[in-house]
Amino acid sequence: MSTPVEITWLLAAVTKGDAVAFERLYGATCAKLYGVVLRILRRHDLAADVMEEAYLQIWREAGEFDPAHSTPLAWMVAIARRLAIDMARGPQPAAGDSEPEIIDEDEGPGSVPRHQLTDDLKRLLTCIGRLEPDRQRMLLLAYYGAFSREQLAGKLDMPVDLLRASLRRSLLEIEQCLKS
Amino acid sequence: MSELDYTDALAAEYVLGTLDLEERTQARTLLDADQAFAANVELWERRFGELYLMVEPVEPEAKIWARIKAKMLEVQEKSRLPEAEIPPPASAAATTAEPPSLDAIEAAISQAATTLTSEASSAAGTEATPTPTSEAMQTPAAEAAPAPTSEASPTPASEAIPPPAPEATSAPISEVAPTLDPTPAPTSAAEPISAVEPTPGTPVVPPPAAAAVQAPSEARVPAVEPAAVLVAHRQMRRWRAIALLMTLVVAAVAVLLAAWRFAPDRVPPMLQPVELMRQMGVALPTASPPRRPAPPGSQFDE
Repeated sequence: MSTPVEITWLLAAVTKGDAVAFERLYGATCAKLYGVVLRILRRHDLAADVMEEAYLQIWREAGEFDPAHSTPLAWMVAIARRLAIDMARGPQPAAGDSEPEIIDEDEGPGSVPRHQLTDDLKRLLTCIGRLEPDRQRMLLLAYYGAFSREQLAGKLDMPVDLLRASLRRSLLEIEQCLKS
Repeated sequence: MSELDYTDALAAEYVLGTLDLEERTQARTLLDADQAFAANVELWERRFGELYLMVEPVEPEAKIWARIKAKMLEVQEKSRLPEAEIPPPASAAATTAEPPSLDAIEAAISQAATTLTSEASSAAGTEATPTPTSEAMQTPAAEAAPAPTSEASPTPASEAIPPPAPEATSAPISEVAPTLDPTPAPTSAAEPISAVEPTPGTPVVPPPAAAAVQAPSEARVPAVEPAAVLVAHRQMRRWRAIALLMTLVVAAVAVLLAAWRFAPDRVPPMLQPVELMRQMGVALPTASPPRRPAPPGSQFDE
């Protein structure tokens, strides 16, 4: 995995239309983005579409990356996530509901190696960890799976209204925790 | 206080991904129209931004890159025309494979979160202050960016110019000139060239690795584009070389001066002031010896 510095360099070269740098950028980041996108869409065909769209957007908009606001990879992931969630909410082509969710019990997200834990992530996880366990689960499920409130309510077996209130309270607590 | 206001909640949930289609469309409209909302979304994206680190990477199929590559040149040619519609998925061949299960994810995540919490809260006091790891790289590069460049040209320049100046003016002209003449002069001509020569050789296209290796501290300046950085590097190296050279010249002059003053007998004959002046073609006042025997009645002592 390339370092943030290398990825920033590649991104800078991409703003100048450097196709070679773009290929290297893709090679350095695609597995991470694909992991994120696939977890949301749970279908390889849809995930592939989103990957294509996301990287084309990155190719066009590399100049808009602002290192003062985020890391390059976080910026790229944000683009891919937006597109993936849009795709997940929109009318899905073909197989839709009939295609089973891809499930493999053996694979989960590894915990992050300690050296990869950034300060921001530590702080965020600390704040999430202060929530009640149910709400921790709800929040992380929401982020990684990008489920709608209705889907979440179904998964967590609670009324949608209650879930909405709980979700917003959690977000507020996290906001306050991160501000402090 | 106990409630997020509506737009704040909308921004947060937009980032989190829990909005339904209708709300999401609304949020996207707001994103384009309302800068405050866009800033809010960006803030939440930053807050949750690093959670992706906990996602297990999954290697995509190679054909995805082929598709991107084909399209991307198109994009380049059209140069920022509205983005083309994506064609329907070429093949639904990849049906079932091995992406992670959500239950496994939940389990692992909550586990990670809780273990981290305990770790983090135990380290909460110290955590905030120094973290001398690779994470430091992720701190905003913007502040770091100006430093090398602003430091680059002024310092060597101020090093290069002033030191020779006082020495040169205070020293007699005949003393400065000789040192430039015999030995240091050739190097002063040769060295800048050899210092500059390697720079054109450095590759212009793949800067990341090279730059990261040759200057780890300066490589943390990702904000600037590579070409500009390369130019700055080159200029900085040239200035450094010149500054170093001038320092050497000054040091040589100083040593020679000191030798003349404090240990004139140990200066090799070649470097004796008189000898040097002769080499320079300065007409020595050979008339002085005859002047030596001053008339006995003279009122001036030597």
